[in-house]
Amino acid sequence: MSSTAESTSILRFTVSDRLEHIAQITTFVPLAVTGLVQRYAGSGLSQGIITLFGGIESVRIIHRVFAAILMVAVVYHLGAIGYRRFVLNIPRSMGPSLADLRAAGQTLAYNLRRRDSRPPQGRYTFEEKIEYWSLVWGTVLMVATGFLLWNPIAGAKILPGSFIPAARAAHGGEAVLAILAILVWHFYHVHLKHFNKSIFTGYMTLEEMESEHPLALTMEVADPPSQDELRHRRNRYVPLYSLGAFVLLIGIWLFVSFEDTAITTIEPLESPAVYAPIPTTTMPLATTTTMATTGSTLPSTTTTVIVIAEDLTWASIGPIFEAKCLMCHGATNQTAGLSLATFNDTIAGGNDGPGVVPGDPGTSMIVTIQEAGGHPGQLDANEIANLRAWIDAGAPEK
Amino acid sequence: MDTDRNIDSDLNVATFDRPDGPRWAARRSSVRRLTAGAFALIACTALLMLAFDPGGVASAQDDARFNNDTCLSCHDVPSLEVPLPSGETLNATVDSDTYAASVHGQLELPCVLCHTDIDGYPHPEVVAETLRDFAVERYTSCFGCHQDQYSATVDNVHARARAEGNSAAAVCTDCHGAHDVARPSHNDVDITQTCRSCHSEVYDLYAGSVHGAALTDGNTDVPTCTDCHGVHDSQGPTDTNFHLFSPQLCADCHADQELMGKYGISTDVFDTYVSDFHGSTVVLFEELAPDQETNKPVCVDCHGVHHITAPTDPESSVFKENILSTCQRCHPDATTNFPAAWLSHYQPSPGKTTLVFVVRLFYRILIPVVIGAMLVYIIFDLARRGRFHRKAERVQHS
Repeated sequence: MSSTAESTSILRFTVSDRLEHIAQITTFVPLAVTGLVQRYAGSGLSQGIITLFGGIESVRIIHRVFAAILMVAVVYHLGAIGYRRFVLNIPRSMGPSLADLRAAGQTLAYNLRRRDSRPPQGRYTFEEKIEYWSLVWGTVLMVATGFLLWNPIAGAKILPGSFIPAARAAHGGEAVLAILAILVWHFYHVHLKHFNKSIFTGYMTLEEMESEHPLALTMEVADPPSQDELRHRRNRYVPLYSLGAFVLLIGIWLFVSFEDTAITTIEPLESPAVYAPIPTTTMPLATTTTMATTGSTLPSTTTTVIVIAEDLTWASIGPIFEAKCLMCHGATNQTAGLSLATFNDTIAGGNDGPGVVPGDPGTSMIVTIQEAGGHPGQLDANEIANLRAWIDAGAPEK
Repeated sequence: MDTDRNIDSDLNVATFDRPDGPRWAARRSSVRRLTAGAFALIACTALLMLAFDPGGVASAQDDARFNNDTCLSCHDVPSLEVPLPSGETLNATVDSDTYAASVHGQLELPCVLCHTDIDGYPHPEVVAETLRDFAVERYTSCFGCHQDQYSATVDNVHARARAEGNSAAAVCTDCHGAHDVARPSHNDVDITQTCRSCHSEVYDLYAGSVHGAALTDGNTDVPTCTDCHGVHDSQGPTDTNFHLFSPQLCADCHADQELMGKYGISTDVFDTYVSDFHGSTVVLFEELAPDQETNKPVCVDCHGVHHITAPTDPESSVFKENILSTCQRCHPDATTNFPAAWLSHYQPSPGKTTLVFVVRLFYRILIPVVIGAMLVYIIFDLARRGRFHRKAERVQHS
């Protein structure tokens, strides 16, 4: 850095401060994004972002990872404040005071043209203190409510159950407040009003300091402590802080691993046998229940009333054949060479010989085949009885 | 989301080719549509070829081989039996009166319209090993006339079970019957009885539920099997997206103000579910990752599935005294206070879950007040700065 730059630039933020700010950005932004998409999960934009992150469960994991990083950053911040205060012995500059209230009133008066100049302010203006303490308050609240959301069972062991949904409402409400405050207050003061790069570069020009933090320039600076004194304080502070940080980190570890809230698979409330047919159910193929029960058990002689025709001639037998046999044993389609279409055809028989042996139904194939049952075009018992009687009577044509 | 609750409207198969109801149909993938379309095209072509074939269906009534009387001349006879390799007996008897009374019989549809493999006698040999195989073999001919209904079944829960080797899974004829097929009655009780024939254990649970008991009392507002599971495109709990989608099935009725008004039941149940942790997760999974499981519960996981009872019923899993053990099914470590973390479907109000109401109200006031104050400050600050700059410019110019 050139000598002129040194003469006009004043160190405002140490490397540690600047890193803390970077850590703040890198946790706040992902937390805000992954949190907002959960709060407004119904919107298309949220769902697009959720998909981008690999689904809602991933979003929740990302949110929690950054929450843990933020909490670690808080532990670091506490150490940094302590170091400044107790080792370097730098006076408090962020603490709220009556002077801030006065400065706020005077700024208001200036803005309302009741005053000609802005009130001179110190290292941190009241506007900056508002932002810092909002952040502190917000972080405490988010950590506390976040704990309840992360560990609802543990939370409900101590607190009433309704604290969990209340914590959810507060976590979401505070998040919206914080995000809007950053977008309005923070962006106005360090980006819009004029771009204040000091948190990144670490330096402010003398002019800027004179305009914004004049009291910081005129503040009495205590003599820096001697090297021995510094070493002595550091040797006292570092172990103490380390112990405190260790306890806090254990606390964070507990925070993130406290409970397994839920099991991974839901067991169904009921588990009936999916397929449990009613025993009386009939097979669908059986046309009706009656058919199904009678069809397989019915011996044809037990239920059929036998009525032998008075006129046992072709005139009464022919129609039986016509109704049940001619499809296969007709004049045009003589299955097995047999036609039962006419009296003469019937007597002539088929390839296997005569179907009808007049006077001897016992050797007539037409009877033996039908009485054996199961022939397509099965005659019923009454029809077979008539056929038998007709053959017995010599199978007369007329 | 389709909120039409009349899923049973797709039972109106008054004529051929009536598409299935919108609910599941809309959820069918286009690939499946294409498959079904191709299937339909092939079948239509086949039917057309049959129509131009002189021995085909068009001339069925003229050709004795395709005349129902011809078929019935054999098949109307009892004890027409075909032994199967399984030892079962295929009863090939058709009661002509039963068929005549069926919806197909009333239309005098020829037997061969369904029995497409028959074109005379002797018939082709029965290749089915079991009665069930025969039924599964034969039901495919339903597609010839009922393409849409049939196509809707090709990817349903039964078809998938069958594809996995469970031949007992229902085919068309199991629900509709075969030779005794009747017009669907659309009667809620009939529907439950049809499903009961295979799912008797599920039916018994349903019959004891608040829905089933009301149906027994003649109340048809309640859901029957098909209202939740669909008709031809029936879905079941083995479908991941069925579980995820199920809250919307419940909402179809339980978010219906008119319907719920009749019974004094709150219609907030769906919205309150979705606005909380479980519901928002389930909806996100349903919309973004329907093929994935989540361990977050849906309605039935807390309330019960088929055996669902009113929350006021001491038997109910969400009855006040039972709710902790219901929570513990997923949250084994939950204790007495834990169930109150869930707002029991109440919108936060001064009377119910006061704390949540107060927190929400607090942020509803705090956010606009704080952000508003910041904006007011910024506006005054900008105005003053603008004036200051103009003044400064004037001073410079003079």
